[in-house]
Amino acid sequence: MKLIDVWNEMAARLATIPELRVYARPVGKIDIPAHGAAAIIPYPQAVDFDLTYGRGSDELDQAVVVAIGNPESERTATRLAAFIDGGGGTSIKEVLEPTGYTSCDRVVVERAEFDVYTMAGTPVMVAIFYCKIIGDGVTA
Amino acid sequence: MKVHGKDTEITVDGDAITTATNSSQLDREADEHDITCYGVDDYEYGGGLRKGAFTMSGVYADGATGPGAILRPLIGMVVPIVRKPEGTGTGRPQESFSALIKKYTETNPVAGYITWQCDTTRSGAITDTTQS
Repeated sequence: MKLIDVWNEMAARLATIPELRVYARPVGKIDIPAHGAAAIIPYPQAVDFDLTYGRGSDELDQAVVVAIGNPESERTATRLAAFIDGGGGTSIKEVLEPTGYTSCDRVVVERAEFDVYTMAGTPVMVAIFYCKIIGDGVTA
Repeated sequence: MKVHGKDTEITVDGDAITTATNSSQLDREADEHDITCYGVDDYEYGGGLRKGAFTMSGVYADGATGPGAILRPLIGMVVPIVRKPEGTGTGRPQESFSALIKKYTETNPVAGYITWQCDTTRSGAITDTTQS
């Protein structure tokens, strides 16, 4: 797998969600749209090499961080709920999981956790989607 | 020198199954015959016919070159297997033998990848060679 290609494909899928600004790289400054949210693909948590002989398979632990807004806002709660739904066009899991990737074999969104980050001195509600990605070990 | 297992290569009936496999085990055994006779204080044994099992398992892959497509049709058949326990390279060992494909199992967990396992019984001798 080429990590850059995986990031790009995940970002392209996330970009199909309405009003979601997507950052395909772990950048330093995030702008959250006033009526939307921002999805950031950060550095991966880990790569496990050699799941099979002959560099057949590697496994990547890669998160997607969705920053929504004021944790005490009803709009934030509604928006967050839509991202963690199982379906409906705004679901992170629904968008990322279907087969058809060329950069890897499969992306599975295993779980989501929630936190409040401070961005530019302002508290922001975030949802962190933890993905397990498997693909070829040898990169063509 | 210690040798890592990740370079192991396996072909079954001529088909490479290496990149879907993450574990394999080749047993080499011999029958044991009690040849103890009178006048001794300890058992004595002799070796008999040799035998062994070969098992392999890994992560399932789809398509014509995946383990399912390769192994399912071979159930009940005796086929050639070649294993390179240290990978490909001059001077490295190679094991060639025939084996009865006795059992093939696929496991589908809800929270993980599909895995597979194949149990075989060796038929005939193992030919140990050194790769050139």
